[in-house]
Amino acid sequence: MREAIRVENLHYRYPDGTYALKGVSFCIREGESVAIVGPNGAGKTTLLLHFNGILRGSGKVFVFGEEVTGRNLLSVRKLVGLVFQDPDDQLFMPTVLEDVAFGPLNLGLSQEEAIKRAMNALDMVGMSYAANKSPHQLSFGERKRVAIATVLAMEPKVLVLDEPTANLDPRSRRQLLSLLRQFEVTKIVATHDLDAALFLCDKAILMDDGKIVAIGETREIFSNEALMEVHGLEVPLSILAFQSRNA
Amino acid sequence: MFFAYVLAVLFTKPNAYWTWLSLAGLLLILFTLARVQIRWIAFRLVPVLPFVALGALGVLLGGSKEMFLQVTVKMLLCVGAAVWLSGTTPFTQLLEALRKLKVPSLLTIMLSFMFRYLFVLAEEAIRMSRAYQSRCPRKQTLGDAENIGRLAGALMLRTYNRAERIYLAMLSRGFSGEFRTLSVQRMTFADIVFLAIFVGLVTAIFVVTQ
Repeated sequence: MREAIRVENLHYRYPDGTYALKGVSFCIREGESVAIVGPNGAGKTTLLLHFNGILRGSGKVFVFGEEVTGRNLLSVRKLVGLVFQDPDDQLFMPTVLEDVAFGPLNLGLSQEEAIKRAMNALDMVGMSYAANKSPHQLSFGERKRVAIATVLAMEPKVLVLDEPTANLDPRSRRQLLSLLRQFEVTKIVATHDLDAALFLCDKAILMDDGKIVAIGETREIFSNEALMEVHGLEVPLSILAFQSRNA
Repeated sequence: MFFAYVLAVLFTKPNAYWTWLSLAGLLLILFTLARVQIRWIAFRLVPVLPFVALGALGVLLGGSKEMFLQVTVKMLLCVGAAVWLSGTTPFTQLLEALRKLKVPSLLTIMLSFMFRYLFVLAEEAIRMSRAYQSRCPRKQTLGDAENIGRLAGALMLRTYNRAERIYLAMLSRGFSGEFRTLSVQRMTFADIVFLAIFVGLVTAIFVVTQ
């Protein structure tokens, strides 16, 4: 399979002097679904912001073989769709339809084509009934799904999600997870929701303090109690339940 | 339409009672056409009235009674027209209309962001004030103004950070400086006829009574 995203020795320092990334390297192949886990402040979000060139640290980021530079930002952003944690940050237009069409219009599509894409994306997340509503009229779960639609409408090859399940009630979380699992694009999910990571991702990257601690099969990493606890995480309840049943 | 009406009102001569009366009648017809309830109009009108009163009071103190009457009536008519406009047209359509009228895009973008984030900001402020009150369970004195000021400062910082994140979200979706938006609505024949009739009426009233 083709390489989707390759990161080589990436360092990033915030303007206030904090080192958020201290030499990160890995490779994600097309079609993979990868979880990025780690305690608060591990550098997960900072890393995500490098995938489409929002942040540019020292080191190299390749998207489908092409190095991210100042010149190809637009084409990179077409390939990599980023869904932010807070849907209120993501949805900035007066109506849902206008918001979802914002990305396609920026891709240079015509009005009709943009509307078609937007309606299509809204359909995919089951939100077409809200097309003419204003985001503040929607529930948090609905806004979250619309936020995903805004990115889907651009038809990215890689879908990057920051904490997709945060603050959702169990039913909205379940709906969102099954929705995400249906998508066949390459997925990268940063999350504290370890059960969601197990459900969505075959591969996991464990980060702590700006470095990668472990890369491997999700279940294998998550079952390693010593490793998980040293890095502020824990063996997810679903694995524990499974183990105790078989003990 | 709104603009034609307001312009007409503003340009009436002082003491043009008949003009005012017919313009008010026209407004009444508009409200009836829109089928809005009196209670609803009153509800919208009440928050604006103190401003009208304040303006009128200023004129009363500094000028003649005629001027006072003139200013009050004109203000009321304009505010009435504004209430009619905001009551019958969703804000989003209004924005699009402004764009079509070639209002500078910077202005319409700012208005659209304001509309979108007013609610988010208000909620944030309410949350902060609740948190403040929960940790300050006593009667507020004048000395607490300092705290309120700090709260406002914190809100401002949060807003600034949010603006930063929104901009990042825009960049992520391929924003490159030019603001492209959908235009869904078209001027239909009915719209043009309605506009023509209305402008005609206003002009007629203006010409006949002045």
